[in-house]
Amino acid sequence: MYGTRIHIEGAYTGLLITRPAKKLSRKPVIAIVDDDNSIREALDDLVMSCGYQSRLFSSAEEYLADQDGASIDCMLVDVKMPGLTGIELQALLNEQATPKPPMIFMTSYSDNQTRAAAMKGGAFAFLGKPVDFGQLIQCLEKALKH
Amino acid sequence: MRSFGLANPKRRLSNYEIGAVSFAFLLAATVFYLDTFTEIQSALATLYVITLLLSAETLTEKGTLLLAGICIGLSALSYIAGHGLHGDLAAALRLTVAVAAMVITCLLIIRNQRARLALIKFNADLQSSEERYRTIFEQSRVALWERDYSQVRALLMKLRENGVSDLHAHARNNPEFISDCIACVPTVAANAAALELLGHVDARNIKSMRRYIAQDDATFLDLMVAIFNSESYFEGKGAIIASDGTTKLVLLTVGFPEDVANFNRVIVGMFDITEREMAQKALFEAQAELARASRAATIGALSASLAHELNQPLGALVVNAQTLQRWLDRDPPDLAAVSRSAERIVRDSQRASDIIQSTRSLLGRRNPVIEPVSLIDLVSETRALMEGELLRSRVAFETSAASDMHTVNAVRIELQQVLINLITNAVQAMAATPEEHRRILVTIGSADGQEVSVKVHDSGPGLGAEILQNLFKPFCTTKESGLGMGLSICRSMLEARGGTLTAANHTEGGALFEMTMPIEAAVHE
Repeated sequence: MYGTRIHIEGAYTGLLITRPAKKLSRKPVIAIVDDDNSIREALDDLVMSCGYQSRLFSSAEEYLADQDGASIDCMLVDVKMPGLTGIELQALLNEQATPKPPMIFMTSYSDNQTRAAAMKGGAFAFLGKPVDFGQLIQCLEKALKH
Repeated sequence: MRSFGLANPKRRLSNYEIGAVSFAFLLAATVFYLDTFTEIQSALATLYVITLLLSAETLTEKGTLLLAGICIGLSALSYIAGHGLHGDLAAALRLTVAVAAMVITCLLIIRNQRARLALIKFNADLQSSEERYRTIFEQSRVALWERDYSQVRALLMKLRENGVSDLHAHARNNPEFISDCIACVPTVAANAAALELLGHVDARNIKSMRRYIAQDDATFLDLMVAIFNSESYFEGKGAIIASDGTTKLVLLTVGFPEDVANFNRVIVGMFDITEREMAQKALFEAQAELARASRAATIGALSASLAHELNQPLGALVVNAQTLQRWLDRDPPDLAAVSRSAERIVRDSQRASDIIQSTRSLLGRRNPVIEPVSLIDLVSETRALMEGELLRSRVAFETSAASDMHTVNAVRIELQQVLINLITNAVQAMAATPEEHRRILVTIGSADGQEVSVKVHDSGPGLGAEILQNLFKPFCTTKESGLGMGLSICRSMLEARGGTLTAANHTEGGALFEMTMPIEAAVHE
């Protein structure tokens, strides 16, 4: 399974996704922050099918540790994760001087309190899980135009 | 006098006795005088017998023997004085007759005295036994009654002669029967504890049990059945109404005499078990409540955890499937990407299925014990467990076992949960039914050689057509606070062991639920 994946990524690498090429082609980069591998991979594939590029992070901490935050155009963030939650990640990014990309939250527990906290923190959208496919794509497009 | 033991050990002799003894001595002296100093040619000495008889009552055995000896000696003395040592034959014969009469009388008196003493002793024993009984009766802390069951027994025996064989059925068909029987049982005596139990009432007031026994009392009917079947003993739990109007639960024991003539004084014992029963009921209710709460909590926790666990792979599945469609819709379709998405779909489905599997095995880890379960015991235990509920809702509960096949190998707690569910439903379904018609009939019978059925039939309004269709589907409920999971869970629980659960409306009205279970329950790994 992973063999296949590497092969396909290889195929894209040649065409689209090498780092210098990305910047030149201005292909939008979507950061996917979710602790679940299946979700990460599914979203990765979705983003790819939309013609964007994705970078996968299995936790908020991993995202923060990444030095290349400025290259991110939009974020898909799971709210409930072990360690820092999506909301806490948002708060930390808000404290930083550098502008943060638009954040689209996804959660299975769409209680109003969390939603309010996310929106107050400047979230671009707050989607329930399982994600409505059309809504997610629309959201992404709008966020990238933003 | 006492040391010789000649006279009866009485403090004083009565005037009659003094007169009789004086007369006896006077008579003896007269006889002796006439016998010795006159020439009367007859067996005058025989008259000493009268002396003996008159003194018999006053003298002891020894005294009588001594008196007889004296009388014989006197006759012999008279004979010697009158006839010398060479008397004529006739006089000697007369003496012999007189002596024989005296000896025989003496022996008869002694025998009579012995019999009388034995009788007196027996009587004294009886009296002290009666006293002991009275003491026990009066001072026992157990409430005791002496009741006259002879009338009611006669009434029951008459019914039997008239061809009545099922007294329960007779009582059902004749609502007056129990109250008639109660009126036929007068109370002869009651002890202090009994009066206390009924709330300190005057002894004269408890001539009849009528006001202390509820008219629909099942225990009293059982007691009548025991008499009807000539049983020697009856024990049961019953409710009595004290004079202050409170209902008390009592343990009732009645021992019936072997001799029918003694049915006029039957001892009835009652022991107040109200508090014990209340405590037990509270315990049962608390346990049932706890079981319900923990079931609800388990279901809640389980569904929350399942929802959370399943949401991830299901969410991924949806995204993957829709992405796959996008790869396919491309021109030309990106088949490599399609294949990758398809593989992920398979993987995530497998993960979802694994989650369900592991949840099942987690639940199954409790190791259900398959054991022989007597359905009759199960039903009566369940009834005891729900007695509070049944009493509160005034629902009559009847059990009937149609065959002798009553034991199955099954998981006891599962069957009990199903029964509790069905009975609870039945009780709730009859909330609008008039109290006197509320009835649950549980029938145990074998459907065929391989399985046993238990039917629960209520006298409620029955099931509507729409409900009947969706009854066993999850979240189908007619109750405001219901989850609608009960019957659905019950059915799957029975089906997992190879049984069934079906519902219908009974032809005579009311809902009829039938559970069947195989004689040998299925086990799943």
